[in-house]
Amino acid sequence: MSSVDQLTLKWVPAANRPVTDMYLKWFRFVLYGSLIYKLLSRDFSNFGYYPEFLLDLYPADVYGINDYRVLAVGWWVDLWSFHWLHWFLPFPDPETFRVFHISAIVLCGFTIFFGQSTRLGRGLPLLATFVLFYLWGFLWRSASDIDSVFLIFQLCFVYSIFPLRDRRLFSSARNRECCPERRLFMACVLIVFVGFYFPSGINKLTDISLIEWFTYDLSQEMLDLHLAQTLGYYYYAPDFFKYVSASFIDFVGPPIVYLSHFLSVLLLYKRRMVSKFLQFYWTFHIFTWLVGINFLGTMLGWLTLIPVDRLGSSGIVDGNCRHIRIQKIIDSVASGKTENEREFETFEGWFALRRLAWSKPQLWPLIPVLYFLPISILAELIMPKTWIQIRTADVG
Amino acid sequence: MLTRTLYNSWILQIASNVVCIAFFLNQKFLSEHGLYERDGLLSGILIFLFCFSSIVTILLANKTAYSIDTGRGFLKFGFIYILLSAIPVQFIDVLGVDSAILKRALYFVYASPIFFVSTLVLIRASMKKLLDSKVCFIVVVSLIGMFVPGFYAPPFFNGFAGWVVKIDLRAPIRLAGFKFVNSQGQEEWMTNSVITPSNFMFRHWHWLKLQPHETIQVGLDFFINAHSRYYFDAYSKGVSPNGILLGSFAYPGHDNYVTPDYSNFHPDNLRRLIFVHEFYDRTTLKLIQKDVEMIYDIKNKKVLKNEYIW
Repeated sequence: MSSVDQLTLKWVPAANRPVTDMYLKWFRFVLYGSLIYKLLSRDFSNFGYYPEFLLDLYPADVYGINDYRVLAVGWWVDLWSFHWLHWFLPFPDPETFRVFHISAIVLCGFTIFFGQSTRLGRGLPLLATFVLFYLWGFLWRSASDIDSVFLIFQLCFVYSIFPLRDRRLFSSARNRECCPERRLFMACVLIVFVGFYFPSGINKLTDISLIEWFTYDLSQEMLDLHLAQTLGYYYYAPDFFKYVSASFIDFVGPPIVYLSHFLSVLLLYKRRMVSKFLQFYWTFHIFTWLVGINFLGTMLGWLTLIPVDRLGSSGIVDGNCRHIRIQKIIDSVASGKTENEREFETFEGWFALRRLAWSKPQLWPLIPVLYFLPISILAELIMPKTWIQIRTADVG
Repeated sequence: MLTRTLYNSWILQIASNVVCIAFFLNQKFLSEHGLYERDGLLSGILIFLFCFSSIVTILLANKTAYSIDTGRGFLKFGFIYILLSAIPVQFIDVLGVDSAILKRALYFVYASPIFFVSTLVLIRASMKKLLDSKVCFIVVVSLIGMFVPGFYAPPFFNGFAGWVVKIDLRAPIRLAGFKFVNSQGQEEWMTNSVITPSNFMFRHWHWLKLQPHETIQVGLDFFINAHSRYYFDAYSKGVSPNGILLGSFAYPGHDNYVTPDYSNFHPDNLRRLIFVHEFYDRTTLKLIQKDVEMIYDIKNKKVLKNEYIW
């Protein structure tokens, strides 16, 4: 890793910790599993029946030259989605679409099971990514510009380009970090999340005035959608809107969301912010569901950041607490590294308690409670840091 | 090198400012495109914006140049710069310039120094093998997405637009969309699922309705054929085509929709496809007005009516 690469990790300190095999397996499972789920719920062969003029409605055509997708013109979208092939070749027929559709599912499945461990190396996930881009290219050229896949597609792309030397899904080899590129990969994953939300924040400053931040009729929009459904309309909103619909949400909800877009930069600095943003954006996307827009793909994308490699393998090397016998749960961290070469991380107070919960299966059911945003924020403020302290070592 | 790049960018920004102001002062152009709504203060405020922008740029350029070698300092000032650059755009918004792309273009002009510095530094570092090219690519694409107006290179894009929903409580509830009409005269909504995996059927219709009747007919036939194709595998079972394999557990469409009861809407029983706007009273929920925009005779494949209403 070069000196500036090292600097990257200084700029993205949240990524500067071991990225283990188990984490990469989880990352693949969630990411490509979400895509398989989506592929199993769509029929791409329908594009084989589309009239050609409906496959010529690029976002720039839909929004017009005076709107915000001005650069989404045909040739440019074709370049990114491999649809330049159709400058020379005709569109596939429904049967060929089925072949592509099944190929995408199979490639995603292979990527979950084998990752980059086959002879193809990065070729397998890259191929899967290209086929996915190609298939979704038909949506991008038929008046759909986002379809809630951009975040997970960006993650697929990032996973495909870094040589991570990860292992097969059921490989029993040691859980270890074997190459420095993994940290750069993690840095890029976090940059993708920030790059996804932060520009949305800027758009809230450029597209609308600050006064308008407080004038979004959110609760009325939810109510109207519910009334439309009562009248037999086909757009759907979950019934639980009535429990969250209150006029104060109009003044509080949108401004908080817009601010959160700016604060998403914190993801680069503090890994502890991941759990907070995860819960916040899940809540936000549930609200968008209540106004009829589904961001399930983005919600599933957030799950890739859960550090499941902590489960059962705590890496805890020492600690002190008056009430818990930490000596009992100290790991014998097997590593060829000397004490000086190892990377240690200290957790204090509430964070230490949460970290302990990952280490023992009996405490796993408590993890969601300990991370639950209101409890977590309150506890972080109240609980003294000196009450419990632990030190963890890298597992490399 | 960094300082020079920064000052080059700053000169570029001033040049862009001049071009931008010349553009905005061209009131003829603005009024021709319906972008200029208010007379009066425009020139004065634009001059103020120019001064404001230049002062802020000079101050931050010095500060940024000073702190650019420490990554965190650079990011911190970059962050502040990005936010400050939006202030002139807020003024333009107050003036009544109502074009998303123009406002974003203006923002790009003001934020350009930080954008050009970051991008050039990253690209040069990558070319000199100091920075991993993959990291460089991801960061530069994110930066372009952040600043360049209208950027869209799927799956990279420049974020969700800002919009506001205002609902007039005195106005009735309006439901719009396609409806099937069967041989008994019953009507049922046609959902977005006919165009699966795409989702935005209204966008198709907004384009289609402006075309000649022959093209409209081909488009509407596609919708109807999709309904026929999916009828036995999906609609007759109460699910959309998304649920052919996974039923009600299927990944929902981007715009959520349910599948109506199509038991009386067998493909052979369809007579007409209409596009309607229905208006309901907010309190009594009774239909108070129904405008039929388009009528298509399915059997004879003929557009009987197509009037642009909304």
